[in-house]
Amino acid sequence: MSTEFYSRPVIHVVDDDESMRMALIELLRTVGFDTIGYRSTGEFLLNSLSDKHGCLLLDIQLSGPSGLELQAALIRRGVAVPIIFLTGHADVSSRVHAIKAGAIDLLEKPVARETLFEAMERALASDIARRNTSNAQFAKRY
Amino acid sequence: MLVLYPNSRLLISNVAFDSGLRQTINMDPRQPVGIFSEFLDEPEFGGDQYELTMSAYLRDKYADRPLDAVLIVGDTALKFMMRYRDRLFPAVPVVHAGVTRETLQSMPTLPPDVVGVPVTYDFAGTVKQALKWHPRATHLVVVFGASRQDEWQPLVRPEITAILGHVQAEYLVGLTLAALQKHLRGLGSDSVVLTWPMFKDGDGHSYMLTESAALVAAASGAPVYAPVDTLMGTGVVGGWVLSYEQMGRQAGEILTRLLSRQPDWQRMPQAPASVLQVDWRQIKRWGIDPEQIPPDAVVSFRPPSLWQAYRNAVLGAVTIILLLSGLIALLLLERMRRRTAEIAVQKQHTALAHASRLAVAGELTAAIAHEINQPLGAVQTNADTAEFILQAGGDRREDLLRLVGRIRSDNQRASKVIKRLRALLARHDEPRQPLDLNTVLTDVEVFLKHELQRRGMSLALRPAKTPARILGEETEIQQVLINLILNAMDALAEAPLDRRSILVQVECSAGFHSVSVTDQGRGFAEGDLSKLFDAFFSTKRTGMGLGLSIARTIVMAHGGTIRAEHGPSGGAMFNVELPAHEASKYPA
Repeated sequence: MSTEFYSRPVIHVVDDDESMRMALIELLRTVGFDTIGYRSTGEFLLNSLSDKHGCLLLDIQLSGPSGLELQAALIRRGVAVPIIFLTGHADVSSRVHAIKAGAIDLLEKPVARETLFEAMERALASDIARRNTSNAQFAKRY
Repeated sequence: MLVLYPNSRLLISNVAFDSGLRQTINMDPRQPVGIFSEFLDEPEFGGDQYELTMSAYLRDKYADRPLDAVLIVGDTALKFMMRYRDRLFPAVPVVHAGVTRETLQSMPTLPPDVVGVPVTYDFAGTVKQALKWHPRATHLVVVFGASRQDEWQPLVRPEITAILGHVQAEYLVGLTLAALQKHLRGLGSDSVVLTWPMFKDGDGHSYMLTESAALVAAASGAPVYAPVDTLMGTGVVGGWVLSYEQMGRQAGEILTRLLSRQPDWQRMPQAPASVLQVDWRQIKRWGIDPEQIPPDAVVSFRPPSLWQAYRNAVLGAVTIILLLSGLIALLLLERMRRRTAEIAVQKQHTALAHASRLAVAGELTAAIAHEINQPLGAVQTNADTAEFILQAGGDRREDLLRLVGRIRSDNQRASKVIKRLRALLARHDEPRQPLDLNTVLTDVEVFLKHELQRRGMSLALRPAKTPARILGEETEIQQVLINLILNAMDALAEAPLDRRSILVQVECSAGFHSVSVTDQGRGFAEGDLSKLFDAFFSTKRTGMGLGLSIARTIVMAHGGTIRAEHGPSGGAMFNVELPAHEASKYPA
């Protein structure tokens, strides 16, 4: 097993709404997660290329490229960080699109703490599973 | 024939009598009746010598003119005639008129060819009437002159005494004018005065018929009555009078029968009845209730009513007024109907506009939900954090205070969104108010921000450099602009990313301000341009086709115009022009 497995997970929050973003960061830090906030999809792409253990809390409606567009870009680049979409309003087509593309869940704001944490648990578990697989593949190859 | 009057030629009573006479006497032109009039001029002249002279004069004057009849007017003339008849006109039939019953009774019986209708002056009736109109009167003053013709007291006194009751009577007979006037001036509302034409006063001064009555009425502090019609107008209130004209008419009828030798010419008609005659001005002066005047009374000097004076003009005017009133009523009715219809149409417009705003809100549901859920999400998350901190224990007061502060501000944010939405969707009719199109557009942009973001579009706003003031209903103007921008957004739904921009421009010009909304979509088909504003016309799959129709209704109601053109870069361009609101009244 890699030492990376034991490193603390980092939660990435992408939301252009200042107060929502701050609230999420504060909540997650209070319960003990390392959390980083981004104002836009572009900011996330610029700063968060290191493949860390964790998950992404992503708004759909953003100024500039949307959350769904970021999801597509990450898939194209092979960055398989688990994504939980958090949105004010999701129409059926966005919801289908997001889940089909591999999102852990799509939650509507306002979201209850338990719901959010339950989704994050699944995301982090999926992240661990993904890494184990990738580590195993790595081990096989070398 | 000859008519013999006892007094002056100019007396009104004689003139009235003559007028009545000539109304009824036979005026057949084949057999004309010559009427000669003579006057004894009493009481200025009188006495045996005078009568002799007069009789000689009359005999000589009419010697060559054989008379068929003689008409005698009044008591003294009849006495004169009977004394000198044999010398003057023997065997000529005599008709008398205006002779009192009392005088006839005091004379020897008249021969059968001397006939006439005796009259009775209604002194008692006149006094009764006066006391009825002045119920507070306790004092009756009777005024007579000093001459032989003025000797009425013995005749009148018994009949007056019979009706007086508690009223005291005082007879002023043959006083000097000064004494009479002095006495009359002292009278008050407890008195009424009865008078008769005075021929001479105590100083021997002679009066024409109406003169004395005028003097009496002028001096009197109490209302004056007289039972003779020729005194009307001199200041007397009135009385039950005999009409001299009526007497003349009766005499004329008798003479006509006499002159045409009808066998029954001596059959006398009924004595003329006295009638109540009053002077309207005196009725007013003495405050007599007009209701108490019997309807058959003859009222003189009442100003004619409008109706009496201008009957035809009044009829014409009334007809015209009625016609015009009818016309006005019709027009008002028509106006009311039109107004009702207008209100109904207006209500329909308001309802449609409201429905259209609801539809807009429906289209914006996603954007609105996002806008509200964003702060609600933050509130929820902050509350969760606070709860976690409290459960964990420890002193983290400052963190909690910060969280509560954020919760409050996010809550306010959500509430603002709802208020804005309610303002747009409110149904009430706002009054028109001065608006700046630039400001309206800024509000619209806030409203549409999230929808634009959701659809990945942007709004290029170019406000005018000066305030573009108009007078309008804010939500309606907002509605028009939202409608146009949403249409533009729909037109851009499938446009490439670099064309997803909508230009909204405000321009001010003299008298009008305009807002144009230009997109870079596919534009319209040529045929659609003319149908765009029709109701139920839509090129969208889900459109109802009411948005532009309602937008046009609103703009027209504001006195403006809306038109669609092909935009410069191939898209659509809508242009709304609204009348400028006088800027000076509302300085920026």
